[in-house]
Amino acid sequence: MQMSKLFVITLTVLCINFIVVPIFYLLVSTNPFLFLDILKDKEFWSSMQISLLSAFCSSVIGLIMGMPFAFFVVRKNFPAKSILESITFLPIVIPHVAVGIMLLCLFSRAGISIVDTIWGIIVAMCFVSISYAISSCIMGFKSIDPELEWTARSLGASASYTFFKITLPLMFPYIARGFILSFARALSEVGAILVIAYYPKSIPILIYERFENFGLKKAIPITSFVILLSLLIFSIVIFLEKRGARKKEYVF
Amino acid sequence: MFFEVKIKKRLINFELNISLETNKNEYTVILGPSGAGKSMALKVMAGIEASEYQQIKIENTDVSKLPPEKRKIVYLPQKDSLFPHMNVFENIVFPFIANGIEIDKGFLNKVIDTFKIRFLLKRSPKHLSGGEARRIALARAICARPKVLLLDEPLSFLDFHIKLELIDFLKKIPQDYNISILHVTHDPIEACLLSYRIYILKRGKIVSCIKPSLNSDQLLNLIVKFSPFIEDLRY
Repeated sequence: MQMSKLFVITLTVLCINFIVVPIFYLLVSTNPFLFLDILKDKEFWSSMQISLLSAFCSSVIGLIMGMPFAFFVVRKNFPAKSILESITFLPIVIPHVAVGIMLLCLFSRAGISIVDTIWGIIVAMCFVSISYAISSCIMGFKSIDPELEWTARSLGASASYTFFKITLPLMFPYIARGFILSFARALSEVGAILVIAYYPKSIPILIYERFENFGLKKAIPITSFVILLSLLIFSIVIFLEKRGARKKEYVF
Repeated sequence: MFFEVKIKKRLINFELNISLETNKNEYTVILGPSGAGKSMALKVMAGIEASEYQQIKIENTDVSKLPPEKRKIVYLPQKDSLFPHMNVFENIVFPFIANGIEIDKGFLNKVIDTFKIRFLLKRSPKHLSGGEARRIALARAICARPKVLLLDEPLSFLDFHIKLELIDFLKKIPQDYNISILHVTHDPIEACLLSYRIYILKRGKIVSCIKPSLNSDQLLNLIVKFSPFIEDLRY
């Protein structure tokens, strides 16, 4: 009994350390002067701009496409509904370099050039991150009692008024969660972007390039900056989840 | 007749087939055990659920093709469904704003006074008792100025004295606000205390229509028939 307890505790500690130690180690081993140098690096800022802008666009597009889909899946009953719902997770299971090849194949067939453009980055980011937007929206729609919406309709609100004044405000924490998660996922994408649009350079590509050309030492400062950004996004997600959980306690 | 309803709806093991009518400003109850199709019938009338056949007439105007918001029929679900992100006042004025009409202050004050909810106006729905939430939901429904109000078990899950208090409020609505009420319940006592006309629903069909008066033997028989546990009260 005692042994098994020890075993569980050891593995738990190992697991936590496996996640936390690399992050912590990278942050403490960053040379502060090199870190400050990075802040003056023009290429870094232009990559940052491209990454943030395209991650923002791809998350918004993902939400705009994902929300009606989530509504359809949650509120309507139709055959093969579960199959449609599981399609949501396809972008997560396909290797991301393969995603790049797939999208390139499709777009060149359609005669649209996305190679080495910001549009290419947005398309790649959108494909890999849309699952998070859809699944958050699905959670959001599931959290709202349809009876609230029907009451609003019955009280004289049109379908669109009900959506904007009842459904949307109530599922806002989920939309925000979906946005942030897909934003974070989009920001960290490298495989598909590497295939579709090496230029204009986004942040992960820049890290990869610095590492390839100048070695570990040059790659560390950018990496720590990106990690700090990811930690910030992560804390926002945690904050929203806590708030969302508290909001759920309403009484009828 | 003021309000006439004919509905047919088929599910896998169940068929709802009802036809009923009520007069203007009349309090009508549909009484039936759970699973008889009471709530479903109300939802079809309100336009929330589809059905194979429906003919719903208010003052000889067919509203069955209209969307829920245009029917002038307000449905109040069993749970009060106050909007949790709005305070009580915002909940009550919701029908005015949703319909794009100016808030009629005189009318609003009358409703607030009728239901004695002035002291609750700034509260969030999270901080209301069951009885208060019901009163606010009723006040909100009346602010939508419906011709017919559909109440789905409005007295369930409440303490007895709060139930009696609410019955007083409910009784006033038809005459004071020119609204016909259709109330569904499984509680025969509730039905007899409130109603002028009772339809009895069993497995999706109306089996009889009674006009009880509180002193009649018929009422007592009805109560006894539906609630075996109070049979001792009879003698």
